[in-house]
Order: sequence, then structure tokens, then C-alpha cells
Amino acid sequence: MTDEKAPDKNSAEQAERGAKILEELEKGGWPSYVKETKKTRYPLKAYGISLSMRRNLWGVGGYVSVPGIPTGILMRITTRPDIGESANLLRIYIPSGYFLPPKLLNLLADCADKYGVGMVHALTTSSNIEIPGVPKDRLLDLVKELKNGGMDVGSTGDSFRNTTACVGPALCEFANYDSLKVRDDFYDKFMDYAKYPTFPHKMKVKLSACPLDCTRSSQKADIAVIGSWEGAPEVDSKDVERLASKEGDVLAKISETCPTKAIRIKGSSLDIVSEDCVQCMECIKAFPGTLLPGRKKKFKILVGGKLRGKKGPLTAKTFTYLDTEEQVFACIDKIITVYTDNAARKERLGDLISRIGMKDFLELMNEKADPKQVKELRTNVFYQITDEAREVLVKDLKDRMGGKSDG
Amino acid sequence: MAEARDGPPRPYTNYVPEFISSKVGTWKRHVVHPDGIIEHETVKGEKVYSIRFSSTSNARYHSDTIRKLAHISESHGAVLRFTNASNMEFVADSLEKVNKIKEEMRLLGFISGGWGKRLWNITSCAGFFHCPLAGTDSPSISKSIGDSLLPYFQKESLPAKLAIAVSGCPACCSGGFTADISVVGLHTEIPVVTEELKACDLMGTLLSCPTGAIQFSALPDGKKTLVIRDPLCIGCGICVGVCRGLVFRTPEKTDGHAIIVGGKASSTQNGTAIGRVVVPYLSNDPPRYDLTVRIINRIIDTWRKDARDGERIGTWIGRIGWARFFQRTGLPYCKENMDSFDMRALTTLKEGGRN
Repeated sequence: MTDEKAPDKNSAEQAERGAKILEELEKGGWPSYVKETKKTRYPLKAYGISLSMRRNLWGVGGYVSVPGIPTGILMRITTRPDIGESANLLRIYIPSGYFLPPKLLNLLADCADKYGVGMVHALTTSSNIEIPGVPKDRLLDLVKELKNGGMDVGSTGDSFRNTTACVGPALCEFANYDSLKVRDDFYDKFMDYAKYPTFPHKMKVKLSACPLDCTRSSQKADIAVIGSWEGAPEVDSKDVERLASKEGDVLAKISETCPTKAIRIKGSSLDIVSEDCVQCMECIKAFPGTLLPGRKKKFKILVGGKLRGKKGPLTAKTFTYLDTEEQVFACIDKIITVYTDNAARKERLGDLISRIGMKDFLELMNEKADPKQVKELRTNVFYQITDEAREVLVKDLKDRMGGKSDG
Repeated sequence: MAEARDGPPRPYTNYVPEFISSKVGTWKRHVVHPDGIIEHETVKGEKVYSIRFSSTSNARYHSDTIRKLAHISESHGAVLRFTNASNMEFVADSLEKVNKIKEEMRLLGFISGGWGKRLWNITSCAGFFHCPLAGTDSPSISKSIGDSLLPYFQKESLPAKLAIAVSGCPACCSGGFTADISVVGLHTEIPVVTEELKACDLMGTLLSCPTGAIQFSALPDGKKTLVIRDPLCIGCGICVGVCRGLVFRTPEKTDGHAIIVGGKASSTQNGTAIGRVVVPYLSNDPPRYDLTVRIINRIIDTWRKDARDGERIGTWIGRIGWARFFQRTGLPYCKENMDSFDMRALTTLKEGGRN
């Protein structure tokens, strides 16, 4: 670093201002993080000074390489070693569903005391647990202790980041597939890609078992797997009767929830036009248990969502609908091959797709175009068709429209 | 004991307590109770209760707090799970146990709430706490917003769910742009070239820039280096993430944050939507960020008064239009609200005769 900031004269004044700011942040009804941090050995004074200066005191970060731990460590270097130490964060995977039995919680707390600054970060925004403040020479021991206790580290660097999964069938009636089992199976199959950073940039796979998308997969994930279904939601007619006896005109209320008016009242029962259902979940969410997601389950795959990166935040785009878990994994396998082969260094999948276009991406993936992918169509007629494709299209058009074939 | 396998501890069924594992996949409905309690019911009529507590503003806990949480869940035969939005949820098999947990957690200083038509949580990234990229400290903003919106987390009803995310830089680690209201920090100064650039992939760094602001240049000794052209740099921070030789020297006074509204992920109402920038710049003003908190309160108050039942912020604005949004909230609209970054900017402007 060229201009390492030396401790200046008004350091004491800064510290005082910092302490005042921290004191103010201890007040208030929302659980105070300053109060909580005070109990740990985290260099809170440095944080206070950075607040008083409105200036970040952490220098260039990155990943520290320790033989035997390819991913899982984040390096943090302070620019003010006089007030706070540089240290590493260790990122730890937790079980699918994020149920943490007391045994694991105590292990984490003990490790944080023994190796870190006595602080546990639960959860990070992509649902890992972090132990901050671990010196470099203690990292291997800590990983060993965690491994003995049944936990592993990872989810950093240009690899598969933590695959978050919603709580799924463990607590939720909306689940269209077992997101927790799929997460476990995902790691059985793709562990090498998760452990060793081999991609151009990070890759995130997120699993939401229904279109309500609790993991925000359609905005944050490079590959989103959303549980969907075909046709209309299921109606529990017994439950409709039970509600009707309690609340009166429940049929009208249910049908009103539908934005596409697909739910119609037929005598004393409901008739849902399955072609009109857009799987928005409005009726299911308003009347849980009375209406449930349809029987014929589908995996909806979306690609290219991200918040960070060259083109700014991009929502994931619908790619395809699949039937089985094997197909989902095969699809992910194909996407990562195409991504690794074609993306520039530090280019997310979403940036790659917006650079080369969805058409080229489909070509690379050897996938057919499907009107289900489309929100809006082209607004120009600029010539973008090859000779070969032109012939196929014209022939297809003639076949479908039943026109006369003129050779 | 044998060493753990690589990756997350699995199968997950080993970590799900018996009273839940016997019911996996048989859920029928859920009912939201007050105080952040939710009742899950299976097809057979068996019931399980969750109670949700807010995390501290940056979800970091002392190890003793973690041990206490473990003790609470163990002593009541409950299980603790953390959610995607860093809330804590205890799951137990009776309402009685859940109420006892509520009392014990209250003594630890945690508040329950955040289900249904309430504020769900305020997620926050690391900010100045740990992150080298942050231009704005997010936990302190998150805490200030939390203190002023506390009633909405506990008792006070809103038109619909409200999620808030606070991020310290445009990388949006906490999910800015996906939340109903988000605060995202922005860099006002261009990155500085440091010594370490020597060891970097210059071409890769140059290509990472979305606006072409990075150029090659020569040092006196003839070696290549990079320069960043000020008028083209938008402070997105991509190059800083790619290359160790470039850093933000966060200036003391000018770095700030923007307010973004209307993002949501779920398929309901207007579908998945990315948030939109309504306030392009606010200065950082720790500890309490008065202006930021006041603006957020104004947006929420207007939404409460104006929205129909069940309408989330994005849907409400979609119905009334941006002109009325600015008029009703009293927020200023200026040229800086417009986008000069890419083509999408033009598509956000109004066409045709409708107002």
C-alpha cells in the first residue's frame, strides 16, 4: 500500500467522537449490535473511529491461501494496525433447512471463543455462518476442529457459493419439491466445483420450492431453481365447505383473489381454468390449506440473476421447465460448462448473457427457444437470421399454417 | 468421531428434530398469530409453532449469546433455525413452549414479530465492520431505521409485508434492489491505483469496466500501468473487486447512499420486480442518519395512507404511477433520478397519452 495512513495527532479526538457515536447506537428498542459486540474482543474502537471519520478503515481484502483449505477463508486487512488487527473470516456451511441443534451451536460458540474474537455471524446474507477474527496460523486447527464436529468450510471465491434453499417441506405447505434434499444432493454431485474455485466468477445456485421465492433466487442467483406446477391449483372441497359454514360466501372471496380471473364459481364448488393460471400463488397464499399448488410438479430454471457486476442488477430470466432432479442437475452441469468456456474473467452469468444475447446463449446450450421464456418481443426487424435458420423457419411456418408448399 | 464430509452437514434429516421430521411434507396450512408466532398444521391436524425474533442489526452475536440460544432451544425441546433474512426462529411443538421462549428471549433483549403484514426484518451487510468495499456503514443505518420502525415489526399493521435491506456499496450483498425499501451505499470518488497493481492482470481489469473508464498508461520506467478517467467512472466498484491494485479511498465527507423502493421477489401481485432509485444521493450522517430515517418514514406513512389492503410498495406505486408517488410523498425529483448508465434508461420513460 502506497499511502499507509499513519496514526495522526487527532487520533484521540477521533476515538472520543467514535465512542460517542457507539454510545448512541446502544440506545433504542431494536436489539443493539454495538451492545452485543462490546462483549466480544472485536476491535470496536476502530469501528467507532471509522464511523466518526465516515471512512472505511479496511484495506484490500481477498482470499488467503492455506494449503488444505481451498475455499472458506476471507482475508481482512486493516489500514490502521494501531487501532485494530487484521484477521481472517472463516465461512462455514450449515445443514439444509438451517436447523441448528444445540450441539452445533455450542461447537460454533466454542470455536469462536478459542480461535476468533468470540463472535459468531449468523447468518450471512447468503446463509452461511462466519467466525471472524481468526489469525492465519490458527486457521488449520480451527477447520480441523470444525470438521471433527461435523461441519465444513467453503463458499468463497470463484466457485459455487452456498446453495441456499428455502425451508421447503420441513415446515411449509407450499413446497413443490424437496428443496432440502435437492441441496444435499447438489453437494453430493457438485462438491468439487464448490470446493475448488475454477469458474470465471462466483456462481450462485438458489433453490426455492415455490414461486413465492423465499430465497430471492430470481434476483440473486445465477441459476435459480423454482418449484412450479402445471395446470390449476388443487382445491380441497371439504375445506371449502368448512370455510363456507364459518364465513359464508367464501367462494366469491376465493375467486376474487385471482388476478387473471381463472377461478370461476360453479354451483357450490370452484372451477379453475388451468390454462389461465399463471402460478402467482395469490389464492394459495390467501387461503392456505383450502387451495394448494397443483399435483403435476415442475422445476422452473432461471438463469443470469445477479445484483453485483458490470451491468448492474439483473433479474434472472426463465430458461426452461424440467421434470426431475436428475434433469435439473444435468441442466446445471451444462450451464456451468457453457459459462466456464465463454465468460470473460470476473464476468457473471447474467453479464455473459447480456453481452452475447439470449439467442446465442440458447445456441451454446443447444436448447430450443420457447415462448414461455418471453416477456416482450423484438421491436426491430434488423436482419438477424442465417440462411439455414431462414429455410427452417419458412418451412416450419408453412407446415403449421397449412399453406401450399411450392418446393 | 470421523471427520465430516466436504460441504454442508448432510443429510439434513439428521439435524431436523423428531417432532418435525415425522411431519415433513405433510403440511396443510399455516395461521399467523400475533407476536411473531405462526402455527403450522399438518393434514392430520398435528400442530407445530414457530416464533420469529429479529436479529441484531448485523446478525453478529457474542458466543455466550449463541450458547444461551442453544440452551433455550434445548430446555424447551425446541429447535433454532436462522432464516434467509437473518431472523431467528424457534420451532416447538406447543404454543405454551413458544410463549415461554418468547419470555426468555425478551430477557436477552430480543423482540418477536415480523410475520404477516408487518416489517419482516432489516437485513444488513457488513459495512465498515468487516468489508473493504463498503463506502457507507450499513449496520448503523440499519439500527437507526430499526429503532424508528420498531412498532411495525411488533404490533402496528401495514398494508402488506415490508422488507428492508441496507447495503454499504453497489454490490448489494444484503440484497438491496430486491427489498421493498433498500438503502444502498455509493462511491463518489474514483478508485486509486496502488503499488500492488504490478502483480495484477491489467487487461482483465481494463475489460471489467462497464463504461470504459480504465485506460493503459506508461510509467516513467516504461512499464504499463492503468489510469482511471474521472468523468467516465461511475464508482460501481467492479474493478476494485477484480483487481487488488485498485482501492477506494473512501473520502470523509462526500460518500453517501441512495434510497430504492419497490423491489420484491415473490410471484404475487406485480411479480418479481427490481427496486427503483427514488433518492439518488444522501450524505452519510452517523450515528442516526436523521434524514434517511425521515424519508423512509415518509414513504411508509404515505404507503399506509394510500395503498389498498394487501398492496406491497411496488404494486402500490405501479398503480398510482411515479408522478403521484413523488407528489404524495413530497420527495424531489431531479435529473439525477434519471439513468445515464445504459439503454434501459430510455425504456423507463413514459410513452403515449396516458397520465
